[in-house]
Amino acid sequence: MSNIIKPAVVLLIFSVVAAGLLGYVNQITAEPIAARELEATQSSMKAVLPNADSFGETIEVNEGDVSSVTPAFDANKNEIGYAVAITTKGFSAGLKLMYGVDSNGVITGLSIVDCSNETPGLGANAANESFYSLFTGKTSGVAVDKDGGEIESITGATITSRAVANAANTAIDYVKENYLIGGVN
Amino acid sequence: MNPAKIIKNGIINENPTFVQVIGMCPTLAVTSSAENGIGMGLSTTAVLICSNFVISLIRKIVPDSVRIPCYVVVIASFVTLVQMLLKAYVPALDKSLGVYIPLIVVNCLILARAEAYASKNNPVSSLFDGIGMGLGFTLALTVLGTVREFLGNGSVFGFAILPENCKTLLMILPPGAFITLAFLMVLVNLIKNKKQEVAK
Repeated sequence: MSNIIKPAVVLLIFSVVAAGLLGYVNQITAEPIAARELEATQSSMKAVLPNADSFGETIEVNEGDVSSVTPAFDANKNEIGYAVAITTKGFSAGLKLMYGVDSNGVITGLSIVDCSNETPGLGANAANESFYSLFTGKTSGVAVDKDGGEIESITGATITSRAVANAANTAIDYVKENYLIGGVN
Repeated sequence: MNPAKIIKNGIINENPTFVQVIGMCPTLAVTSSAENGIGMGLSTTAVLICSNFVISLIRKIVPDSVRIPCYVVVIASFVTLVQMLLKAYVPALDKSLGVYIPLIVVNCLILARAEAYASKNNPVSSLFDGIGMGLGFTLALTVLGTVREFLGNGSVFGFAILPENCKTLLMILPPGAFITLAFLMVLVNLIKNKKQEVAK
């Protein structure tokens, strides 16, 4: 009997200690991690809407791939654009992107918030400026070169490139439908 | 065995990639560039050193029949702790190594060393075994990554060397990993056989 109970008890103790330790560390790191993420989001918003002076309150959307929208204001508090956060599936799930769309429905910038689930060395190259800067100035029907569009896809990572292009359309369409009645205001 | 010998054993005589052929999944998957190779190698080394040390410390209290689950609990908790701490306090490092950390949990190199070495040796030797094996792994991944990046992307550590039209895309895609690994193993075995002949 003891040769069944002893191993079980030892394993139980190990698991309990490990779980306790993980819980404790999670508790003390949760706040700094959330702060870092907020900081990263804000710097992404500034990067994609370079003309913005301040940002309004983030509106949680969670509609399709669109996870949130934040309005951007100029120095006179006029709405000049929207930072659209999108979570989509590239080569694997969890590709997080942030698009800046101005009040004419033109993309003012793209920031790759998290592409750590894409293949390192291939899809993860989306984080290079040479790729994401291609989206600035696009207005509609964004597509990669393989699909007849203008975006030069990343070598060996057509799926990631296509996902980023599709998300660009999603962002533009969302802003047009919800904020810019009649296309242009 | 003295520390220097244990380390040399890990890097050369029993190199985890070229001689033991373990931990192949990350080896093949992430070595599309030299930088990825070195990043994965060093993250694995850090975890391996710590897990070897801890497992060696607990080797006498863990009953034989549940040693593998216990090791897995230790390794997985350890990796998760490192990940949370990096995310919270060293975001720069997390950004560059974050991709590799979850992959380490399932790297059989860590469990193999726990089982084959740390569970039978004292903590200090196990620590050095971790350093040696980790460096051997890092060396192999960096070489593999460098060759693939050079042939596939025409660059080394991100610095462009070959002209644009000399790239062989295949080399940074999955088949390139198998091809490069095979050629490197041939090379390692050639050198080893030569050495043995000279010794005779």
